Amino acid sequence: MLELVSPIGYPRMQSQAQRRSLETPIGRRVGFIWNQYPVTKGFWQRFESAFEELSSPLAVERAYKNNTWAPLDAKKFEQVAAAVDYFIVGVGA
Amino acid sequence: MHKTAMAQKAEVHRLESADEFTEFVYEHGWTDGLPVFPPTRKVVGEMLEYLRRDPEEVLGTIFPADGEATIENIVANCAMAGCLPQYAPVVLAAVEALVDPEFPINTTQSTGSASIFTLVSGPVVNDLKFHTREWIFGPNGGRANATIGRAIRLILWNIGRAHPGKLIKGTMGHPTAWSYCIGEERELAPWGPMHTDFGIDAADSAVTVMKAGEHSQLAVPINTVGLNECITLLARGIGRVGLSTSGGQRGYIYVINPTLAQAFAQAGYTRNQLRAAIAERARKYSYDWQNDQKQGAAAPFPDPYTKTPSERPMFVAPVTPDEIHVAVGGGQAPQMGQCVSISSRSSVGKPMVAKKIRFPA
Repeated sequence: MLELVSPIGYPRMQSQAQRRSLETPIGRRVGFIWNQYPVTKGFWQRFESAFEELSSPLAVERAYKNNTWAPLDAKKFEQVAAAVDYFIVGVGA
Repeated sequence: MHKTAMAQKAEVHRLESADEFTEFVYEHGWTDGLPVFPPTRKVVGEMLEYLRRDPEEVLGTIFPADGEATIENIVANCAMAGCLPQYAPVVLAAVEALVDPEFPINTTQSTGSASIFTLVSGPVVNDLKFHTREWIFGPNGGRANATIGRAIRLILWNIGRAHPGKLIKGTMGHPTAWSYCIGEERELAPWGPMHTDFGIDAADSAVTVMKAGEHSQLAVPINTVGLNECITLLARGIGRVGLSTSGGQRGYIYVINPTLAQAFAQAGYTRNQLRAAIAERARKYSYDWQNDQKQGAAAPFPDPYTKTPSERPMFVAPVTPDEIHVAVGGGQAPQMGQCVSISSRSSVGKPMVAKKIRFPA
């Protein structure tokens, strides 16, 4: 008989329990965070329009980063996060 | 860091015989592809006994799955890598660096496929018999080098669940990611350990964990061109296009062989003076291809040997001494200085984090 100790790590259950789920994206307050990556400039504007048309948001917040790599300024993030129910984030290329 | 937090005990799996082990680990995704050793209760228990720490103590969570890194599951990965119990404190210090909020572990999982480089320095290098000379970056038969490096990779794999195509999206990967750990040479090094750059006492042992990008070997023929020119050659290694592309925090580790280090020391250079001399001649070039915070001034790239010159300007930025770290290691070669430069860049956090190794009392 060989008894093996599992090497696997599991996410903290407490953190998972604090997560909330969004029942629907329709009619909620939405925030867009976008990195302004050059090749997405044409796409992102169309994407926002199409999404807003589909989801009829109560309010829209837009936070456009000026740097592809760095995260959004923490104060700006907190400010926008307080004003929305969920985010759609544009990352990478 | 959640050093006082406690987690549940690790699961225990039972197999009828050792013959089933190899297929079991592949079926359960416990390995990144290379063979591993069984993390048996006996082996794991011996390591825990050596450490004398609570197996359920949590050091933090490992990105991207945010799996809890407990003493017990870290040790299970050490056992799978083939570590001796005495290696475990080194691995624990490396994990402390990985979970440090200053370390940009999240950006190591991006398309750039950075790997984790670990440099061990101080008395522990000799105590654990690291192989520090010929083929220092391996393979070299050094158990400490290979298995500590493997343990760190398996921790990223099993605790962080850094599985390509699933939670990580690196496009190419890197052969160093299998195991990327060295010990810094002590007897032949003319200067103190590299970890003093981070405020850790020279008499202590430490690990420096780096988000590593490019690994380049530079040959600098001391006897042919002289030491002064060698500094220029080392500095040019940083300026190579593509070494690291843009703004943010940068860091470079130069691992120079003992011959070269001794030549610099005999010429009167301290380690810090060498860092400053390299920085003085180094420039970082960034190609203007993305929307980021460029460092330096935009300039045409005047390369007379390029048949089709670049259509876009380059950004040329100075390099500062604190971005450069010099360690000693590798084989001796009377006429040839050898250097491996490892680069790092990160838009957030620090490119590398050093931690003192804490041994059982």
